[in-house]
Amino acid sequence: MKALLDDIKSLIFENKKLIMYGGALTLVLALYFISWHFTIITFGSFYSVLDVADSFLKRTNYYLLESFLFASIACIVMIAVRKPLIKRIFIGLFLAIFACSEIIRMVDWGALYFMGNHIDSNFWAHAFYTDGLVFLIAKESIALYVAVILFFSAIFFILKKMYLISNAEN
Amino acid sequence: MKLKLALVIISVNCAVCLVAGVFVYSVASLGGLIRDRSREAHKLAEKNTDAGKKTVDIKLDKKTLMDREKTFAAARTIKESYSKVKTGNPQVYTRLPEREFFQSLYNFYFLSRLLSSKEVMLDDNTVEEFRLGGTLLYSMDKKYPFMKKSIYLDRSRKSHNKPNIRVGTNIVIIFVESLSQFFLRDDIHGVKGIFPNIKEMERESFAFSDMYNSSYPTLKGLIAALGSAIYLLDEEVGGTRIPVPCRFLFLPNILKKLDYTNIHIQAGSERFIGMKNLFIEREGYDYFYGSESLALDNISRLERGFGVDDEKVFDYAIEWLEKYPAKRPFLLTISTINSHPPYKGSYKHPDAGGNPMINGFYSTDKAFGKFWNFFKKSKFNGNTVVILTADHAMGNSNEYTAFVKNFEEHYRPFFDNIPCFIYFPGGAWKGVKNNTPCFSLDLTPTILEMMNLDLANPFMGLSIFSERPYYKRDKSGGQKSAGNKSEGQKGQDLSMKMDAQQFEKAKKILGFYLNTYREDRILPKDYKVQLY
Repeated sequence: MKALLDDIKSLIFENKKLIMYGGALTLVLALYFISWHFTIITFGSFYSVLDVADSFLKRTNYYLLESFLFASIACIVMIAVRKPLIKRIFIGLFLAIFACSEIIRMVDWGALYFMGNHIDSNFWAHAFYTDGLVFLIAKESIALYVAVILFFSAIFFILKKMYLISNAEN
Repeated sequence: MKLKLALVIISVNCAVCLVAGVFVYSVASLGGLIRDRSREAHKLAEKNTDAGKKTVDIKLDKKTLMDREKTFAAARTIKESYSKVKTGNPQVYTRLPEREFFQSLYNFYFLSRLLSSKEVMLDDNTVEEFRLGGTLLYSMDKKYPFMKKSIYLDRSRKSHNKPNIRVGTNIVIIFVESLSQFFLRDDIHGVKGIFPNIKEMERESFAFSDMYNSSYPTLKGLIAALGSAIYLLDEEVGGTRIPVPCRFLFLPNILKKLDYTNIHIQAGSERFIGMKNLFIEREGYDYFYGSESLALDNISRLERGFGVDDEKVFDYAIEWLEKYPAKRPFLLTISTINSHPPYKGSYKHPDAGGNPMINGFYSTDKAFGKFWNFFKKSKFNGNTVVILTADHAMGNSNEYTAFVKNFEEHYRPFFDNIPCFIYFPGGAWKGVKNNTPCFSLDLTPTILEMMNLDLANPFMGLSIFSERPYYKRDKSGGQKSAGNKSEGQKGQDLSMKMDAQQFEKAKKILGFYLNTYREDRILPKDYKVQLY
């Protein structure tokens, strides 16, 4: 037992940076998902988070699980895969999916904030020929772009660090 | 080694999630606790200060606007009230954005098209049944089944015993929300004085005394009256309301050709089901003003119903008319809202008995009265036709049900007789009644006939003077022939008994209608108004 604990201790000590970035990835992803709902309720509605506490906490659980899974998959790929090219492809894919999610969330946040409803058929009907996307050039939308850039940079930075650390160890 | 490391990382990630979860739960619990305490304190304070008013109703009147601080305070309250209205269900904020995105994308671009991808053609027998009911199909084009060459099915029936409207005469059409004829019958329901102004207009006007609404709710009602078309497409696809996907031939489309200016003023939202886009971009309107344009000093009242107060609507119409240079004739359509649930009763009728619907109607009448008084004294009195009708009959609201409970035989929610009064310049045809059973669908062809205009059209209605008497409506409101069952309901009984064959046929007819809307096959894309 003691040997196992020592083994784990040394493992943590030797890979503390990778473990730390893995934890950071989990945390950033969780923050990204949860803060979307928190901010739209706080700034875009008359309600408080406490008004929807039940469904908000359920959604939080879901996001924590999702963040845990995504971050763990990313970490395992970094540890298990030897070839840098495959890791790069994985990172590219991860970032692409994350960017898609960010764009969807940015537009949906704007739709909720400016139009009072999620992206729906009404939105699509107006999106590309009248004023459906006009909110994306509103001053308030700068905050959306900043959030998108910040989260993307954070994820990119963490994945890059994990990539470099895992390559150095291999 | 790698497996051990992976397990360690998974454990750490798991721990991070747990910590984050505990943090969120703790903050939520703490927040709940603080809120409960502050609520208790607030309740106590309310008790002490008698500040228990829950409704926010502020007015941005001139006095307020002149005081900068007060204006800002008012604007904050407006925003607060507006956000209350915008989002009635706080749970929308915890839905998954990605899911909403893909679901709506799928519904809009794929599911809705899949449902109508096949071109539905009706067989000869059904087409013949439609013809016997007064609806000519495939007479010009297979792709655009409703297109026909004239507003008359048989030109030899053209009646000369009718009022005429000279081209160039201004036209005002007022659609009163949910105004079933029953409400004007104080000899039946006994509540006098709900509509003193509308009744005054009735006395000075020509009337179609047996008109039935063809559609419900408002947008469909306006399409029926202004575009002579039944629009049956359910606006709900995947839980969201979709804008009208097709183009109709509206009265403004035709009048535009005659150099009319077309304007619509309504109390409801401009954006609702893409109404403004439909009216401006496809249906020939030059101006469209809804609650967003009229709302500044009424926005705080939004919580009491949709849109702005009718008084504001008619004030706006008066203002618009006063400023109108009168170089070109105009068509002005107005759609009211006070009598829409949950009702806006700015004025209280003394005998309303606490029924907000009556107060809603009474307030609409008051607002109309202001307009009517202006109109009669204005320069437009001698060159303007004013039509007052309803967008549709009253729905089955509790207030209506309560009001009509002692007159059950008159309880006809959704589809019922509606008024149609036409004031001609100088009061011509005053007091004359036309008793032909007809539909709101017939309004546009009838106006065109009175203007002695004819053109190729996709109208589903008929001229009330020349054609409708040949295709009578039965007592329940439905068409006598088997064609358009949808034009009215079978009495008050909405249940239907059908054998398998009838059911298949009904499905096919419904599919045919839906298909024409989905595929935009009411009006040919290259259609141009060419008057005979």
